[in-house]
Amino acid sequence: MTSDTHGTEGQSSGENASAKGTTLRFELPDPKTAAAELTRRTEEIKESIAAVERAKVVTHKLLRKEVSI
Amino acid sequence: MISPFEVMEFSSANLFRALSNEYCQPDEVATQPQSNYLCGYLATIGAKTVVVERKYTDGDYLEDFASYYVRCHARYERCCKRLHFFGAELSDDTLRNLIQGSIASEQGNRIRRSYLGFVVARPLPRAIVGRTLLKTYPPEGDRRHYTVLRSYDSHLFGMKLSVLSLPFQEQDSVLAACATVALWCAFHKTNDIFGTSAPRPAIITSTANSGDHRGRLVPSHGLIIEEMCQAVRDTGLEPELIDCSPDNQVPLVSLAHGHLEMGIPVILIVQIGSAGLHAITLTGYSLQSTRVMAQEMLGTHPCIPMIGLRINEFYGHDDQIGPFSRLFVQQPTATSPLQLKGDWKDNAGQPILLEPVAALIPIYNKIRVTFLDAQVWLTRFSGLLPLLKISTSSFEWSLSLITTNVYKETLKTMSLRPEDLLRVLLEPQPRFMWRGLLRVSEIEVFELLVDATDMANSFPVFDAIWRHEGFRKAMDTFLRLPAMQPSLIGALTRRFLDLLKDSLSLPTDVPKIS
Repeated sequence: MTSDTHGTEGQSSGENASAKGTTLRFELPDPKTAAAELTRRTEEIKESIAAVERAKVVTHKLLRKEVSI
Repeated sequence: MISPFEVMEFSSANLFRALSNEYCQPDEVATQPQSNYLCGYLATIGAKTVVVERKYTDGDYLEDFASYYVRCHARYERCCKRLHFFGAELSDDTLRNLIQGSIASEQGNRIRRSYLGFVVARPLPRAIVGRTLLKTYPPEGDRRHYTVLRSYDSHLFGMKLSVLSLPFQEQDSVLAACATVALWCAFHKTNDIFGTSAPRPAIITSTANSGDHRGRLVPSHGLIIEEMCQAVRDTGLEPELIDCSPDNQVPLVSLAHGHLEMGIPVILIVQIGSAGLHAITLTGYSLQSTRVMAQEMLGTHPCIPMIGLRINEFYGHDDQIGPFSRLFVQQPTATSPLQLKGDWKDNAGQPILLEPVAALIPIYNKIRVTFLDAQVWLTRFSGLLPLLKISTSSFEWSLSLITTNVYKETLKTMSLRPEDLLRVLLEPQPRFMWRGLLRVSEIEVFELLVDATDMANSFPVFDAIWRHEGFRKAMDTFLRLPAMQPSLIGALTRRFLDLLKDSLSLPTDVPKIS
């Protein structure tokens, strides 16, 4: 995050501001570059999501493990 | 006539003597890890006085007695002792006056407020630490979070005393092994949250084995995970079982936090060296202000940065150690998975690291969308952040289960625009939801609400709340860029993108309350 002519800035009030009083600035990207980058990242996102889906599987082997200590 | 109680100064010698019985002398008590742990724990929370209630009928022990001990040739007692601990110094006369009510109310209230809880001493040769309810360590600022607690009242000769805690006990290895005890602890809290049953250990062991079993029910040598799941079902809840083996991409620390935040106990099943599996009921965590881990899990697909990166300890009831025992998180490395370091030691006195195998979470049946299901939508949204030059080191998600009532109460303390606040307060919400809170450089900028009662395979996200004006404006522009639409749909899905755009377009006709 930096400040430049395409940036937007805002400071949330009250308890949302960090203790350091940080002001967040967000930089908008060039749309064409960003679109290509996001398309590339989408494949990584899909692989991460697929990994999470695999993590939800519970095997019979796990169910038969004995908790005995 | 022997006095029904004894008042003594708190010390290790007095504690061991108070816990002892005809089958287990004080010097034997002193060798037991649970007794030693209790001694250190009580000293740390400021115990000054022990009041021993000499004849106490404990419901859990009475059930065990009726199920097993009454049939033994040895004449085990049916009554226990109950040890009460106070942070104030008390004498025999002061306690008598307090019981009779002939004490100044200010002094009486001061003594009641100093109550630290109690330990039931079972009249057995071993496993003498029965039902234990002790006050937790102080929060130390905002670091320690004991979320799995409930209020308990105990009565000492007609005097009502209260403590905020969760019951603990040592396994007797007759009617309950560690799995049963871990379930018993957890069910006390789920009874409080969901109104489900909180069966005694003997009942848990019996019903867990109501299906196929490989041998004798009693003495109990443990339960298989499937039997633990059955025990959860028998209370009317669903067993959410997560495989936490290193090959699985599960951010265990954040996942545990996500349930503990709502007060839901997480039963962590861990491998203890080569000895076998053990169950610990997690009751809280320690949250640091900065990251203590670089990553929560190994693997080729790093998890989005979540609050687990700032959690350095869990607190849990470990029946082999003691109540609220500390489990230090050891971050995963290239050669070892995430592990926990507690008070377990090998024969040489060296610490044994605990390796998580599974997490078993007793959950209300209406909660059907899981932490991992909700995480998917946070992952999708996180894909946009680097495009706004928000690096993974600067943002963090906190994903936790919450009820609509608690959430709406919390909303009133947040700095939201009045129109946002009113809109969300007046909007009907599902009873249970996942709240995904995004922080950028420690500032809360955005929230995603996921309906926990919906279907995982549908689109369970139902609201987005923009907490930071600059972030809102940036995303409002970014999400509407014409050149970005196809890639945004690919990354988010069309429905998610539409929801985000709709949430950015605030209604101007929010009803005003006169």
